[in-house]
Amino acid sequence: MKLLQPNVAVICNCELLQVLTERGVHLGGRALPSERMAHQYLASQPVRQLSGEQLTEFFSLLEAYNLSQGELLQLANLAPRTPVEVHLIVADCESRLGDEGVETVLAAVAERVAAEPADGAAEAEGEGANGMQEE
Amino acid sequence: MFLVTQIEDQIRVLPQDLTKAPVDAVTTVIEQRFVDKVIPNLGLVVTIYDVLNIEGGFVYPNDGAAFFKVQFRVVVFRPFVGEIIVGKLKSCSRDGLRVSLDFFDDVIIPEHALQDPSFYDESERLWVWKFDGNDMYMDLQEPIRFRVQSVKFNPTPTPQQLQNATGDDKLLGTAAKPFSPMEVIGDINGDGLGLTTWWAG
Repeated sequence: MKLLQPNVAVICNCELLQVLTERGVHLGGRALPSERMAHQYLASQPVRQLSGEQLTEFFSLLEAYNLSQGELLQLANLAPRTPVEVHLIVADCESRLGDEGVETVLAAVAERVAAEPADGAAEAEGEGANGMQEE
Repeated sequence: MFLVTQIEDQIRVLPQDLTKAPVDAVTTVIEQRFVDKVIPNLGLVVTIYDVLNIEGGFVYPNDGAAFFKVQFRVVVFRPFVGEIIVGKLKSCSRDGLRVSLDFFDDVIIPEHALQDPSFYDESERLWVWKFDGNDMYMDLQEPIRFRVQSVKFNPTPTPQQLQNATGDDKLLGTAAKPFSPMEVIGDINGDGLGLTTWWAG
């Protein structure tokens, strides 16, 4: 076995979700159990699944701040909702972004990337409503 | 935390699978050989990205199977140092925490990397972070945010090493002490790290 290119590219969680869907993780598909587990983990994160163009649009919103690839990737993977999380992701946040920078990042994330958690409150309400309708 | 790797390998397709299209036959074998396995010093293969090139198909004497030289790409799980990841707290022990990402269970947060000051509660068998007079219990199954400190690859022990093992290592490979080829060591000592509920807006 030869590793021709150990690192062709780093991919985002949403890109991996697309690959897994193509591999057939949904019911009736022919994906392996470990692929289904990976899909389960990624789908449970409160992050919207963006397509390729939506991702580049999101990155272009933050072009002015000169964030590194790793930082942009983490923003798309984690969808931070509080300033603390942005400070964790971006190194040297105070000098590079400052308070308004952090606000802009949070606004861009809220607009493009964040999604409600899949399990918990939303589903419980949904199930309750469905239950009533069926009866 | 995922990267794409290009691999070239000799893939052996069994005679009964030769009626299938080469791509399908080869994909099945790659699934068995690579997916959910750790490539040493690289990472855990999560899924096949695509198959680039299939050559060959030679059948060697005394072996009815066909050998193809295949170039393909796989998606590998390999977090970089300093990356922030959210997982689920799986178990607590004196030595620290064990976090699970559903497809990967070997994330270890050693006890010295917990928030300062943290204590192990013997009765509950849980770690507690005493912050501002409040007892923040680290309950199981809670989402936990951690930072990657290092990624360790353990070489598979040879039969010789297993024979010469002493003490605890004698159990290596059994359910009492399972062998993990890849371990991610994390830390939750910092603002924003630890249970996500601690820092929720």
